[in-house]
Amino acid sequence: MLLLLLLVAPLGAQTRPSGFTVGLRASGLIGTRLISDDIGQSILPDTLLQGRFNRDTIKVGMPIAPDLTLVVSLPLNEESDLQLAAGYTLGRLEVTQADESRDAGGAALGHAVVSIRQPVRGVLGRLGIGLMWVQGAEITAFREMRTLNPLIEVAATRIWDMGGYQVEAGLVGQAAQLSSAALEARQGTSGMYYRLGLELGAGRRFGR
Amino acid sequence: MSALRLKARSGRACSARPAMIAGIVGVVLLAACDSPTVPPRLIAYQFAYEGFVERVIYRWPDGQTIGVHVAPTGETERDALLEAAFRHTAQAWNDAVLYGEYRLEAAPLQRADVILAWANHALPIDTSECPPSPDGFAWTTFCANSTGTAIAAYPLTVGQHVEDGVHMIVQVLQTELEPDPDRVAALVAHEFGHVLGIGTHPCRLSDSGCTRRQGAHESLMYLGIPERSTPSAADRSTIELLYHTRPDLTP
Repeated sequence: MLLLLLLVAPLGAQTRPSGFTVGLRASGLIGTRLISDDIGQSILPDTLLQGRFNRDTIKVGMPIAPDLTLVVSLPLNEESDLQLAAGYTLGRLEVTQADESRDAGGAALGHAVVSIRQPVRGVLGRLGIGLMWVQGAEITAFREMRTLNPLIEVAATRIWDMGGYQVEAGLVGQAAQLSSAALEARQGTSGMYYRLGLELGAGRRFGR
Repeated sequence: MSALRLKARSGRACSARPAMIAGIVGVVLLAACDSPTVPPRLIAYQFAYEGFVERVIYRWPDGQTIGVHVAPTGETERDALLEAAFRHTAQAWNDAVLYGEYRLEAAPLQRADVILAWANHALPIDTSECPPSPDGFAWTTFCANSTGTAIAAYPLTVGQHVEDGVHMIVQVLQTELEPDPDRVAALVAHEFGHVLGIGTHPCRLSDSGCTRRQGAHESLMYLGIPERSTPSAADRSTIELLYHTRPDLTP
């Protein structure tokens, strides 16, 4: 929030144009693992298991997933916008341990972001903060996901005006701090999740 | 309480503006953090079935949906009681593992891996090769195949042959005219600990002679009538450990 205030404060003094833009952004995102779990570090009772226990880290991820986001842009001045965006990434969760991996059902990563967009060296830079949450996951690790998982977003885009419409393309990166009640019940802690993707968007301007 | 039968050998963009630069620095600082991790659990207890010659680790293959058929008797109240007990059990044990290592689910007989039935009710399978031995208030029965390499399937006595078949039977004895639903739920939950692969009964750590590797402070899997109907923290650690250990026997 502090970052946004830093951005908005100098812009607030300038003339604010009227109108707004509503659009949709579609992205393809590649993410890091959502959870890492070194399951065997302390619960192994003794040698009874005869070396058959798999000590490799368990990783849960949604490797590549599509995202659809609804965006409302409000101009702050001639160059900058305040953007409100909310959307979902829909994908399959994959559990991997050593060389073995298996599908662990579908899940949706929801996100809502407030960002400032302004020109930066020939492109439009976007910086925002928001929330991320996990919905619909079958596996217990994501049960009772903490609703307020903080998120930070950076993006670089180009925009083409086509009459009353805008088309945009760019690169986006997000970092979120994730945790869930299920993980915390196992003395789990939160950690960082990162993802990067290409985004394509189209929007329509309303007002002047 | 339960007879666990195992007949054969028995887991940025660059920015010229200060505010944008501050934002980028924030992102870089965040990037220094690590991905979500799950630190140590409580200690697990020994779960392998103690056979005549050696310990045997049995469990279902990773990620398997285990179909459970609750055998109907035709008596509405009794059937509803057992179905409710299974719903509770499935939820409790499915929640015990974090990563979908298995999933208990109600299934019709043709897709069943396990049959749950009242003890005095005729089973829709041929149990002549591996008959249940009633013991206590509830029991789980299964057998290894003739080569001792897998858990054998019971042939169905009704309908057509199914390839995978039923591999385990859980039976519950009804001793009272009006059974206590909580007690039935606890018995069924205990037996499904055996179905999932916990082949022992941990001792109480407060008892003399009970070692840390054999016992738990609290457990659904104690010998005797269960005092709880959901897995304890030690039970959860144990089932997690089990499902990341290579088994001797799988269906």
